[in-house]
Amino acid sequence: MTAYAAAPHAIRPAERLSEIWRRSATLLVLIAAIALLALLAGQADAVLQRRVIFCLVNLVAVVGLYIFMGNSGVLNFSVVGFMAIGAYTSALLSMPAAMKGTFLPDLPLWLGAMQVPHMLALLTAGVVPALIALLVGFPIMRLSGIGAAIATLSLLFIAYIVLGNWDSLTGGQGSLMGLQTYVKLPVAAAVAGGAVAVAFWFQETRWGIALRASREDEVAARASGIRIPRVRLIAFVLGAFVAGVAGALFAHFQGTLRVENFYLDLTFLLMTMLVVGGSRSLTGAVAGTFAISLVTELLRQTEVGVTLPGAAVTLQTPAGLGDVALAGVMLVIILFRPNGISGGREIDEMWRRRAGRKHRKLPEERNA
Amino acid sequence: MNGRAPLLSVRDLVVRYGAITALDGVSLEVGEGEIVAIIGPNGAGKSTLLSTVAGLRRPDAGGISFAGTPIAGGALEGTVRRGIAYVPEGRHVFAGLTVLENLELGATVRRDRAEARAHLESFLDAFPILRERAGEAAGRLSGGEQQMLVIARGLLSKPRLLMLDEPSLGLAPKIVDQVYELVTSLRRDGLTVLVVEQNAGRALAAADRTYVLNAGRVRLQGRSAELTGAPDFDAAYFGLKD
Repeated sequence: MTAYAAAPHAIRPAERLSEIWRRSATLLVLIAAIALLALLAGQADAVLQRRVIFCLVNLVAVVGLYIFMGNSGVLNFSVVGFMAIGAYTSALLSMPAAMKGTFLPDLPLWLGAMQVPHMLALLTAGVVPALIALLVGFPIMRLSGIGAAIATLSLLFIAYIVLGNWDSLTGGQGSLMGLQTYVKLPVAAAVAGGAVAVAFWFQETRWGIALRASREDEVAARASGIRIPRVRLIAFVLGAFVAGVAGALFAHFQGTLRVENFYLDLTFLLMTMLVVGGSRSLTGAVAGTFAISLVTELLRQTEVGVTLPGAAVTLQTPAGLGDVALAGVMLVIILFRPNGISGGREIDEMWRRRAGRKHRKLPEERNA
Repeated sequence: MNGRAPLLSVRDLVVRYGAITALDGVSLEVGEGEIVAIIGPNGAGKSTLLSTVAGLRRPDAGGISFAGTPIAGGALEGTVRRGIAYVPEGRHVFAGLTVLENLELGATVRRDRAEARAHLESFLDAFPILRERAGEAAGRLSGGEQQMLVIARGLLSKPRLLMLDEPSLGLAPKIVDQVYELVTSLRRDGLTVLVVEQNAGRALAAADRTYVLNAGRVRLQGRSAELTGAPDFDAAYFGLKD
């Protein structure tokens, strides 16, 4: 019997419950924000709608990135590779047989003839990358820092090279066309909301909390009995699942599929979104995706040229400014606000801090 | 130690960092229900000894056994499952996690969920400040509160042996009093404690037996009461004799 051992103290389920409610506020606000964005975009013209859908697809991918990188604090460059695998999985499962015959004449017969419902294809697009992540993640989950960065970057390279050269399965460097474009606003918003909910659920599980503990302090986490490679692997697999779904959304939003789409440009975009928002919180993942989508859209418009109302001149910025500005935003955030827009906090934590400041004793009074 | 096999026994432990020998054949024993202190100056090898027992590093030679089972070279994650709670030096709270989550993580290895929950509640009762700030980030606690939190977190694994590394480091004397009150009360409940301290006075006052470590060797050992004021104590502590 150890100290403070279990005298049957009153367990306070009510306290626990109110804590769960308080934290759920974050999820509710994030889902509401996604729903609001989708509703507003529904009123806009087709071009702007497409930008919003693209933003929501990116959000799913950023959430996939966040599940592992945000909770573990370990760099992960492989997410776009898993997106590519998800995209091709869904394409191969859902393209009409006639289309496959045109673009992929060398497919195995059973695959060439197969056409499953979209939702099943979407789900499989998550499952296949998740299984691959389970296999390849096993040896690399012990790595952190530069080791993890190089290993996950290698995974991206491998995915890119394999998919880009497996002509019979993916058409190699060519494009796959004729994918059904069922990803409109409602689908994109629903899946984005679902991805946010999955990430929220994960970070409230014992695994999620243990993983964040390992991010905060590896030695203390191990001393508490947390098997770090194991909890990392769980997040890596779940993140790959979400990324695969994002890839499938991407494919069925564009209608065409090229391996080129899933490489360093997209990796850098997603990474910027997460870092700018604040990689340590789900709120940050969502805020960063929205913020960067807005910035890139504004920059794109200035590249096209903006005529201010009442002014005779058209403002036009040189092409390529968008990418430079993106890198600039990333740099400014890393230098001046390393925890991103969200400060690494969830919405309920921000509220609590604001409320706490009003009537908290000064720290000096507490420190003995 | 009343003739029984010791709970923890370290024999001729050698740990090297490259060319530097941090531990040069250290042996010690901790009996069930004892408070044992390891004291010595900076760089004596105290923390190396504790972290090696915990499984943070592999010994170059020698053996460690706990409850009769050899554990040298076992991993840190397994140590707590054997019943050893290791509280490393420097208040390793999970700063971005809430106080409550910190405590819950202390019970990671436990299977008796309901009992662990009640155990956790008892800490919140014992330290009202932890209850008050249960939903706040642990990094925002004061130094003393953080030290209490990491000890409580260690205890929530329901260990047979608690190993504390420099629990008084950087704390105000009043807080150090509280830490040692806690340690003494733990022993009354049957817990065994191995504590590393630079604060020799504190350690001698709290511990049943004390080992004086210097330059990787045990220079002096014995009942704390007898070591206090022993003629060769200063010489051993400051490494003046060999």
